[in-house]
Amino acid sequence: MENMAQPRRNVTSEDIVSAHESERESLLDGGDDDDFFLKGPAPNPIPLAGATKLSQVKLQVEEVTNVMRENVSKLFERGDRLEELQGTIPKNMHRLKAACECLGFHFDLSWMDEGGTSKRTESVILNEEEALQILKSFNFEEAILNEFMEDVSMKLHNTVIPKFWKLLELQEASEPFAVFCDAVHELSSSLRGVLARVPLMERLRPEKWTKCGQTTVLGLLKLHLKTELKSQRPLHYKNLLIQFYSRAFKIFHHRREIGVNQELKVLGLLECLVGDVLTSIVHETIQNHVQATCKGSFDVSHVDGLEKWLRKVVLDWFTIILGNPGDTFLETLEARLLQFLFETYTHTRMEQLFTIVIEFPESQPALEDLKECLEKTNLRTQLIQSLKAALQTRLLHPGVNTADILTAYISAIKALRVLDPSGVMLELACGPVREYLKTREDTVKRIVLCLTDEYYGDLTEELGKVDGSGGTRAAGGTQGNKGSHEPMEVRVGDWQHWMPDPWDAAPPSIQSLLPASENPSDVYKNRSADIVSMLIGIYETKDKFVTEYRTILANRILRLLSFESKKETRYLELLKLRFGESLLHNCEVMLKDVADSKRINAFIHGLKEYGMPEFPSYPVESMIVSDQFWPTIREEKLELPASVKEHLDIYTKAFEMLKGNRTLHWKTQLGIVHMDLELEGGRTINLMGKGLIREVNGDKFILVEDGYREEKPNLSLTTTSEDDDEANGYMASASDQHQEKLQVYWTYIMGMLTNIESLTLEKMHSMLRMFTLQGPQLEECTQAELREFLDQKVRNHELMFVNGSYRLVKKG
Amino acid sequence: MKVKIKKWTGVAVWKWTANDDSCGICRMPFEACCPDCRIPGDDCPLVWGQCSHPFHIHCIMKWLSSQQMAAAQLCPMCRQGWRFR
Amino acid sequence: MSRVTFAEKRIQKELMALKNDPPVGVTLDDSSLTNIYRWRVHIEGAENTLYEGEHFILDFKFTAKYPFESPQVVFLGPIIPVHPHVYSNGHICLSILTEDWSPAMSVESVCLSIVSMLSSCKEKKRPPDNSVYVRTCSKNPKDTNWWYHEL
Repeated sequence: MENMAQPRRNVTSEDIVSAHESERESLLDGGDDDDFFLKGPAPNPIPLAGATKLSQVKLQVEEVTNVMRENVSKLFERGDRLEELQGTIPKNMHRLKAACECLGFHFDLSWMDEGGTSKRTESVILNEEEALQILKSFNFEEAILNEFMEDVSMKLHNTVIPKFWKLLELQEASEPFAVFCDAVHELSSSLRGVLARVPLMERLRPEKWTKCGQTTVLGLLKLHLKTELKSQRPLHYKNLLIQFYSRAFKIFHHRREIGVNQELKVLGLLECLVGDVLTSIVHETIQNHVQATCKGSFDVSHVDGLEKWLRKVVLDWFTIILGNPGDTFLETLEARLLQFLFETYTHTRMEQLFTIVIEFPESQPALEDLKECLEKTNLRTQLIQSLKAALQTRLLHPGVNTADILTAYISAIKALRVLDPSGVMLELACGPVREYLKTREDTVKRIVLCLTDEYYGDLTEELGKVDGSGGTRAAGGTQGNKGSHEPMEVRVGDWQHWMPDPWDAAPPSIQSLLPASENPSDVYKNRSADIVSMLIGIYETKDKFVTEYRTILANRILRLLSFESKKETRYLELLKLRFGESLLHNCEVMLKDVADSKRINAFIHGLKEYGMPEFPSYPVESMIVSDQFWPTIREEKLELPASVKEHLDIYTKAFEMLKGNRTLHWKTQLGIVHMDLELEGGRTINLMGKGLIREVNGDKFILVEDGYREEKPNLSLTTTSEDDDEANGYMASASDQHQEKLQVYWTYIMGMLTNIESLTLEKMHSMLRMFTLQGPQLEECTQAELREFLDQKVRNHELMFVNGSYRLVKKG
Repeated sequence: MKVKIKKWTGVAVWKWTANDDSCGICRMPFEACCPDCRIPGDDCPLVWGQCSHPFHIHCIMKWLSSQQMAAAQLCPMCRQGWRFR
Repeated sequence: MSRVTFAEKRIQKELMALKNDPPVGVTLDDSSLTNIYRWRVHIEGAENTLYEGEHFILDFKFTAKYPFESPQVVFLGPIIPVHPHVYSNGHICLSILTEDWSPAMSVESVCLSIVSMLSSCKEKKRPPDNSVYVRTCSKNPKDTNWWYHEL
């Protein structure tokens, strides 16, 4: 029909009137039939100017007839067409059906068969090409494809996948390994048929066809598979897989495993099914390996070994599983796993960090490893936090004595310097340590002891290091010392190796950029200061240290009364560099006193030759002290026996003769006496009493002879502190206790040797141990200690060593 | 029971025979040295005048050299004419 | 060590001594101590003297040669004691401040001497040559050629 496309407008009377006859028809026609049917005849009779009623009616009738005519003709046309079609449909449908059947699809066409036309089915046998053509001509490809996918989907959902999981659920089976293999195999075979038809389907696929993001049939298929698999998987499937793969990891080359993996790969299931299982297995393996390698062994560098292990073992295994997925994949995998390795290593070490720090320098390799790993991972902050917490819990509490804290701190300084040469980590982690140390009363003393007495610490060598960066700066001291460098100078000199501070460093304070001042706490701000400066910098002033050192020196000198001046002089020189001359002036005088005393002693004894007054019974020596420069010596009244006084006076006179205008005042409570005690029964005991000698008027001590125990309440072998500081008392008593212990043993030994003429070392030792079991206060003595002690007695001619056994020297 | 002493090592403090005082010029104790010195004792000894007042040798020398007129060389303590003893 | 430090050390000792154990009627003015070479000391007239209840300020200036050189001591206003040996500008005619000075003396002993000088006064009057002196003298009393009368 023509005119269908004409825009509609209401036909006006003018149009009609002015139209020609033929046109009139069409005009009157109006629009579609639909229009007519929907709207009904034109609503109002068209008002024609001057038209009579009759002509109006005529017009209407014409209108209607035309429409009717139209309709009828259309109807007829349609009828023809339908007949045409009806003729062809069965034939086409059958062709279509044949085509579909050829491709494996069945349609139910019974709806077409009405009353006998079913007989008209033609069995057409087509080959694939023809079928494809037919389908194409019918534009039926997409429908077929959808049908295919539907089919597969249903199959998967209802049969294949449940079967798969069911098989896997037989985990109670003894061989999970085999179970898994079987299941995968089964899955693979059931999907074989489907997979075989994929290429054909692929040909059907129109270009630019996308469904669910997949552009190929195979892709879509795999997607379906994955979805179904995932939607139906049971909760515990992972266990099985983990078992499978961890076992596989251990037994590397298992043929069945390879086959399984191939199948999985083909199905595209490898990643989705086992991906995260694999990852977790690998991670676990890495973790275990790292822990096993690194646990407890700090003195070997592990990182390289671990890296090699990773490459060799893990990646190779992956390659086998994944069957060469491609270099980039492997590379990224490698990178990720390496990262994980380093992180695991770092975490492991973090837990052990406290121990590592304490055990420096044995643990140096571990620290270097850790440094390397820190650069590669991002765990720096965590490390610092963890160390800080560990220090807090394990070190900074009342149960740890100050000496230990200090030792730990020193180790920490050294260790953290290795880990982070710029010193930022040290600053951050050890801040609380310093604060805590300040609160301990004996910190100063401990530090000074560490610095100056090798027995207590190895810092004496540190003391000697006067490096440009920290040492001379801390020694600001007096005007004479011009050695202080500006902080910038150091860096300028070393510009080739200069590295910027790590990101978590605090910004430099103004003070640290200015020329060095004398305030030792500035040292703290300068991170490259050496250990001694760090220790000293805990306190704001140096005075405490100097005073402490003076006291300790005094105690040391007075206790020993014989002195290794050279060593002390060296220490003094080093300390001077750090603390400044004026403050240590006193100590210099003290040392000079020692030297002078030696000379005076020698001189006085030399006077004998010139007929000067002799010491009647025994020689007197002295330590002469310039008391203005020494720490205050406590005054104690001690009455000396007359003979002693006499001897001392002789000495004094000699001194006065030597030094005009000067005299001596004896501090009677100090000194050392060498004496013999003659006990009943002719045994003599040789004693060296140090320090405080109380009330040796006459024989005021009790000897309990039977039990070989000697009570010496009045001949005290312990040193009370000679000056205000308790500290030395502590020091002396440790070594004095040792002496005491040996002395007690000596009485036992003498008793034994008196009864049994000679004893070998072993016998003596075992007998002594018997005694120590009886006596409550005695400690054990090792054989080596005993031997040393006995040898000393031999040297002193109290014992003889004859034919492998010891004897007493008889004293007449 | 007998005690036989074999050797006695005592500790003594040396003092000048000058009554525990301080030097009138520098006000430092005699056993310490004068402010210009570092080491006491022989390196910074005492001297006595005829009037038997002691001073650090350096201190009294400074005083004496600051007095140009011989008549003014007086002991700081008693203002008698100073002569070394 | 130089002479400067010698003087400082000595002055420091005197300072501590005066602070911790001052004699009666003598008080150190803490606030004046910005410079160790210059002190101010407050003295009070002794009881039963003409200056009883009166309060004066002494100004001490030390030199680097102290104690071998006497300090420069003057009374500081506003109240200058009226005394035959004290000029109205604060200069003091006292022999120990110039020729009779000895290094064994101290701030303390000077103060005591001055107090004693005031105490022994029979009549409060200015020195006879006060006006001339005040007009012609130099700032430093030590520059003055003092003629010491019987004191």
